[in-house]
Amino acid sequence: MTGFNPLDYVNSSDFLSTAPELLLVGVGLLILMLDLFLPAKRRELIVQVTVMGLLLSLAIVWIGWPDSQSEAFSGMLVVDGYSQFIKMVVLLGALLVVFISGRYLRNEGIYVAEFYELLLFSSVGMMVMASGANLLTIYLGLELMSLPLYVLAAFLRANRRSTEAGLKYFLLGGFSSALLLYGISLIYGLTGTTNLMALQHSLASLPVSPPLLVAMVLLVAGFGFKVSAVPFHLWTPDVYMGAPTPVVAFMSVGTKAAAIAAFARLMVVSFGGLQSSVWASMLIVLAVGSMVLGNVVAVVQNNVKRMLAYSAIGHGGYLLVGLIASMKPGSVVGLPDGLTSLLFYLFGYLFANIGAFAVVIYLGREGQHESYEDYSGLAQTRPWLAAVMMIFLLSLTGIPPTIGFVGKFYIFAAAIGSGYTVLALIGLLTSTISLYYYMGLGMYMYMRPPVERHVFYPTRGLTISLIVCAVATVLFGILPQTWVHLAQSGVLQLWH
Amino acid sequence: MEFIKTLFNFPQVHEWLGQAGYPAVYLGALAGAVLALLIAAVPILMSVCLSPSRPSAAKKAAYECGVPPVGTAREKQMVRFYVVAILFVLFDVETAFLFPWAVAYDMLGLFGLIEMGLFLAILIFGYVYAWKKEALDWVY
Amino acid sequence: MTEANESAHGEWGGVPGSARLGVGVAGGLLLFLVVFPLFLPTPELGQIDKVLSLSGLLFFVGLVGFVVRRNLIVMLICLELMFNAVNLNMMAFSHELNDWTGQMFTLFVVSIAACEAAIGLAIIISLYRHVNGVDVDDLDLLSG
Repeated sequence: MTGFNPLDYVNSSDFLSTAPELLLVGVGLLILMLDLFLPAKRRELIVQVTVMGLLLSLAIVWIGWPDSQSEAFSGMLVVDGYSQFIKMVVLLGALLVVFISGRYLRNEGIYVAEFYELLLFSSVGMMVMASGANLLTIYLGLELMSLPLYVLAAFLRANRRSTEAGLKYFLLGGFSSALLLYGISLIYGLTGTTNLMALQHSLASLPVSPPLLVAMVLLVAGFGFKVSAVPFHLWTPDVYMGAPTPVVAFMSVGTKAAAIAAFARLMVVSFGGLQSSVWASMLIVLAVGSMVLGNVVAVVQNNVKRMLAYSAIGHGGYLLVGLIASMKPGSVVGLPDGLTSLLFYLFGYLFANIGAFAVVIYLGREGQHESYEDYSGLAQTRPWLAAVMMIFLLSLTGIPPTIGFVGKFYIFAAAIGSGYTVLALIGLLTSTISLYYYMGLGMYMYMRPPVERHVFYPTRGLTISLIVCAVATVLFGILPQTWVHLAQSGVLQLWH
Repeated sequence: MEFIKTLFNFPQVHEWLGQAGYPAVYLGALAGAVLALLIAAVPILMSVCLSPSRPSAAKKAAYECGVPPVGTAREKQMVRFYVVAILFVLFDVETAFLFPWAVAYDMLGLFGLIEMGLFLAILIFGYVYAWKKEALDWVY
Repeated sequence: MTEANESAHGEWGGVPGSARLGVGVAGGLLLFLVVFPLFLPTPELGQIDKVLSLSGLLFFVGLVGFVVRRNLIVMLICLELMFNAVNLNMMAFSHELNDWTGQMFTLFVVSIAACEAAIGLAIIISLYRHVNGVDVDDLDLLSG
């Protein structure tokens, strides 16, 4: 019974390297108590504390940007440039969402501390997923991310649409996590470990057997649900339409980023090499389905939130293309490989997508003013807002001076470099389709006569985040180098 | 019986079973299972297809030891029960983490004690929250 | 009146008869092909295979139940069934491999499943306040 010392397994550097997550958990608990013991007049403090916590966490991520991979908590988590990049995307997303949601929450009567709390805990889940180096931590992160999001999606209790969205998200989310878990249990049974690095060694000597195939299919189903890839996308349009708009903005970026980060780490680190052909053929089906179905069905939508939902499915497909390209190393000379382009694409998607949802929040209350007609003549009544929305739409389509173009360019280049030329062609083709519906909204804004609409005045936070998103979309579209290098150095640390 | 034996005696079936990890002993069980299923399914299907269905109110009523039933079986419960039940489910299961610690208590020492204290402190945050939000008050 | 209505609608409301029959036959086949062999005296099969068959069956029952049943509470129960199949799997592997990772995993899965059940019940209650029912067919506002 002697000879065991728990301090052999934990040391202070573990807490240092997970400081961003721990800080956010602390801030979440602090808000919980502030909400209970603070007089109603001083509720503003809660938002300020949230923003400070997120900023501080972001600062820690930024200052402690690692040069090489390091383990924490005896290999349960790893901290490397790759995970830090995803954490940065998640934290920026959460920050922007806090800024854009102030007036919305007041209007809908849900200006409560719980919203910020759940947002923080969900962010922590995403960050744990990005860092997870063990199937257990990845699963824990996934649930910590999802459980608050189920509640957030059903947050408008007086609104039946929101409740239904939450329930639908919960049912299908629970189902997918059950599938994922069964896959994990099979993998554990086959290899005897859940550590990603150890899995790599065990799997390398394992033949492709029926149980392994079943496990892989179940894993793809579980993660595919979170990335909303076809055929696991059925929840996406309904949840995007019913859930509160700031929540959707957060979910669309954060969930995708975290899920695809964990999935990519699992595939590249553990399953790299051996079964990559099996993985690739499964993922190609998912990617092509998502790109085609998402973009084609988006064409016939008349509700902006629903259109953005289908476009999110399409973007999930593009991300999968980046993932597929990364499984067969090789790149066009001088251009980044699959994973790097995936990270950069997420970075660009963050600004464009949250910006687009910010415009939706700007223009109306939940469930109102969401159809294309409500955007008619926006260029005449609110030229700046229309211009900003146009920038976001251009970026989502992938038109040159924006960050979306660079992201798509890198992804397709990586696909071609790895020999998936057809995949890149399908991506290009579906991007052309997406031009049709994004610019359809642009047409409404610029070509149609204005409609009568209730004038909403933006809060300072909304204005600031719109400006930040628009500037970032254009600026980093012209000067992407810094971020590409950052992503590249992060991806290179994955294996060490 | 001879027919079923030949049906299952194809070499492919043997091979397939072997690959799936089942020994050949199972052939008999498989044949028996199929036979049993048929014997069970045919009468059920026949009665579904052939029997006339003439439901009446008396026939469809729930059987209550010969006494006419009073009301439906589905009574409405107070929503407070749900809240208490949900809280119970949450706090009850967290005990699962206490057991491993309690088993290895002497080995984990002070470090384990502090960790468990932190864990319980976080739970207490939730408890205080439920308390202050009046989830524990019994309102009639 | 309402009782007759209820029994006509029932748990299976909306599922066509052929689907019910198909599910029944599939369930029966599964029982005979998986559960029945479990109780055969077969020295060739280790303990783990029996446990795995049982957990596979549990998982499948949960999966089918989740897909075909319409009552939200029953769907939640089916979800729990699937989680428990995973737990059984994990414990069996942990025992077989003499490795404690599976047991730790089970602890976490149990507690997270409880959280999930709590959240699910809470959302179901808030839906009940809108539609006065707990059927999946009540979720009809968002389609289209």
